[in-house]
Amino acid sequence: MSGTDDLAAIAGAFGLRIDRASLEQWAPILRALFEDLARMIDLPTEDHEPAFVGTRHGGVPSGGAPLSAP
Amino acid sequence: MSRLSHAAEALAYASIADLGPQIRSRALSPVDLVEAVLARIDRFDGLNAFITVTADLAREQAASSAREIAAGRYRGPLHGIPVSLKDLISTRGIRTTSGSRIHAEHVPTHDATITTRLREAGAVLIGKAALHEFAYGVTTDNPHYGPTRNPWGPDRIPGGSSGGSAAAVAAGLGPASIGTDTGGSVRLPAALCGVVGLKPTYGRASRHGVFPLAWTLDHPGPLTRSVEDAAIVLQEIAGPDPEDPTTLGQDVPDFSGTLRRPVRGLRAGVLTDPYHEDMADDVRAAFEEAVGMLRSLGVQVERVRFPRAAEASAAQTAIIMSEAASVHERWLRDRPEDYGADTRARLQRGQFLSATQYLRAQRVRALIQDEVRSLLRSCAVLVCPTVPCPAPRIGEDAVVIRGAGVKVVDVMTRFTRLWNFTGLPAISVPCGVGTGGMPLGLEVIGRAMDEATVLAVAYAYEQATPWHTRRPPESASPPPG
Repeated sequence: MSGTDDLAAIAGAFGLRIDRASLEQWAPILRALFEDLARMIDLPTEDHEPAFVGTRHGGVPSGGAPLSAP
Repeated sequence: MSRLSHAAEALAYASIADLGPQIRSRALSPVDLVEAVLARIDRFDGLNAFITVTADLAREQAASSAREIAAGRYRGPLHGIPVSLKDLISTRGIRTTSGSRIHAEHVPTHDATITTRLREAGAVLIGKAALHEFAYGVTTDNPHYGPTRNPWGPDRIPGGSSGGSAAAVAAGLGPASIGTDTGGSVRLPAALCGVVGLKPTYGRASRHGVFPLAWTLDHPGPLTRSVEDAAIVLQEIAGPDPEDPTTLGQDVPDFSGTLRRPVRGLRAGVLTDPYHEDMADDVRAAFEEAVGMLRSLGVQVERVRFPRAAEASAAQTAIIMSEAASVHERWLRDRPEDYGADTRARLQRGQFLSATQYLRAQRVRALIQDEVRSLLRSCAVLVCPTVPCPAPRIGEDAVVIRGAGVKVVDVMTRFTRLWNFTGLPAISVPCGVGTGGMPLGLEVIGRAMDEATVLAVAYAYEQATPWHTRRPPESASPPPG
């Protein structure tokens, strides 16, 4: 779903005012991204909820003392 | 150069750590300091580092600081220190444009939490720094306010999106600026301009009152000329803020107090997976020398691989595109013509991603965060170059790296964006000189909420090398106007 016609259909359905020349230019960029994202379906994410925040924290993690130095 | 000029230049390039005690003892007046900085801002107007210079306010705040200090009410290391803010950080009563036409006349009624904290620390606001439009780009070649220039070469970009902040700090137009970093926008301009840029852990510094690019990737952070100054500024802007729930539940350590901890015996992972091997020859040479220096400081260096770097990069792209498109949804519908062409195109492309694609990217993010956490059990820090090539020329869309042409927009954030994705703290510190004498940066990444170790390693490296003492040629800056 990332050929120029597909993008034009999506733009039309959602009321996005985007000229066809732009869609033609973007189609390969979006196609490559969508292919990358499609491959991610097979990653072992079944135990992972969406992250939503940049990181989980609750203070410095164990072993955070930098410097395992003497 | 006259003795007076030497003195003015020395003042312009003094660190916060040096200026603070002079101000506290009243050997230096904040009024004289701010006048020196304002004169220099005027002289280097051609860099286009600022969208708004708040000269009158700065003079008022400096005079007020001087009175308070004379009355024995010294507030701390930022009291009387001139600082600037990237022009998407809200300042009550002062225009905050976000580098856009849409917000060209926007005057906030409230300060961002960071603005409030700096004000309470006694910092003097000298201006609102230039940025890529809405922070969505890496060049700071702004269609509405003109291009910002790199003090090391006025035909070169300063990087972005916090390009004005980096150019200002590098040119001695104040010792510190606050930027924001969504894919590298603090660290990469810092690297290209030869200064220090720190992206703290996600949630360390409040985003309240900072115009968003992508909510789950945005990180405010300081740009300074030394690692010690980055620690000083971070101390003031870090901490819980009820207005930004992602900051809650943290303790803020004494970053300056831990700066000089020994690094001998520390384990550092050098990222050597294929994703992190793609860089220009001059960058590789400087990076290998930097790793050698870390070794000579007693750091135990080992080669490590970032898990699923390509997938992380693609997922990060999907997240920034989706969130940015959502932030701008109404304006994209109602006034798309008010955006510059590059920013509009990036935002509009984001409207084609589906909810399931966005959520898939966020689940992959959770997976990779766990895997990177495992990597950081055995290593206290990771290191890589900050940017794969030196600063491109203004207007250049592509650069050649090892014989292959690559788009500037794709390559500049290659080594920085993964740390927005993981939310981990990362700093860029000057590490050498590339083609054309342009600065290069070393990136040090640490565990969540462990900026102390990141700063300690960066400080040890900085102090062992001469790069932080280099200054851009005064003649390299174009004349005012």
